[in-house]
Amino acid sequence: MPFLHSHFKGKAQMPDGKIVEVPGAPGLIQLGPRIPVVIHVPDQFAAELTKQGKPVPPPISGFALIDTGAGSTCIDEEAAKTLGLPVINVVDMASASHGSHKANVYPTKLQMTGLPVGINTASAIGAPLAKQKLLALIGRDVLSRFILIYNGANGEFTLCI
Amino acid sequence: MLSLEKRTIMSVLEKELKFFEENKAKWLGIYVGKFVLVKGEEFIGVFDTAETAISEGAKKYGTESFLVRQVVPQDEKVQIPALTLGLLHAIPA
Repeated sequence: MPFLHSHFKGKAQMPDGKIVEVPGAPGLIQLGPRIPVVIHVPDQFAAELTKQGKPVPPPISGFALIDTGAGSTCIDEEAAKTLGLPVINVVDMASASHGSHKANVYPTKLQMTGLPVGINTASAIGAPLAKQKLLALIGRDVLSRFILIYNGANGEFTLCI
Repeated sequence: MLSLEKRTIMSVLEKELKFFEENKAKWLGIYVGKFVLVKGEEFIGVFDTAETAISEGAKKYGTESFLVRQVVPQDEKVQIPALTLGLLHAIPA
């Protein structure tokens, strides 16, 4: 069973200069369960570009936060534009400040670094994530294909196919 | 800023969304639960899954935008609390 395991570990310097290991839990609290990902032009669009003799934009790397509170996966809007992904739908996104707002939906191929499979997601919502130093939020639609084990006490989590 | 963002989003699939809304009542009677593919003011086809509709759209239009939407009575509002509530980096003091 392919899996991705992440364990936060930290080191701290004591007043006497000695370096000691600190528990991983605070790191996981601060950064959240994030994994390195690569976003590609989905296979069917890459094939069409190739057929037309056009270059396929290179994939974009970054970090994705696993968000069990999100119903849908989101990708950074600017990354979607850089990859030339077409808008295939517009959805209403619930908002705290003004009821709801419209958001573009893009077809996306998400590769989790370390896992051997790329996931073509039918709908990833465009959102301004880059300013949060994120490329994607992995929502429950993608998580429905995985087993997620979150061990907050040890500062580690595991994603299995 | 918000109005500019809204205008940009609406302009991409404006025709397709208008066409979808105009035909939704009729489609609910025959295609409920299925995914329709719309380009401009043209109905291209109906599919069992979003993936097959997207593949067909990619074959016909490459990376041009097109609409793929499920025919359901009530469109679901997407919930991404961490994003919409600004909680992505909220750390308790």
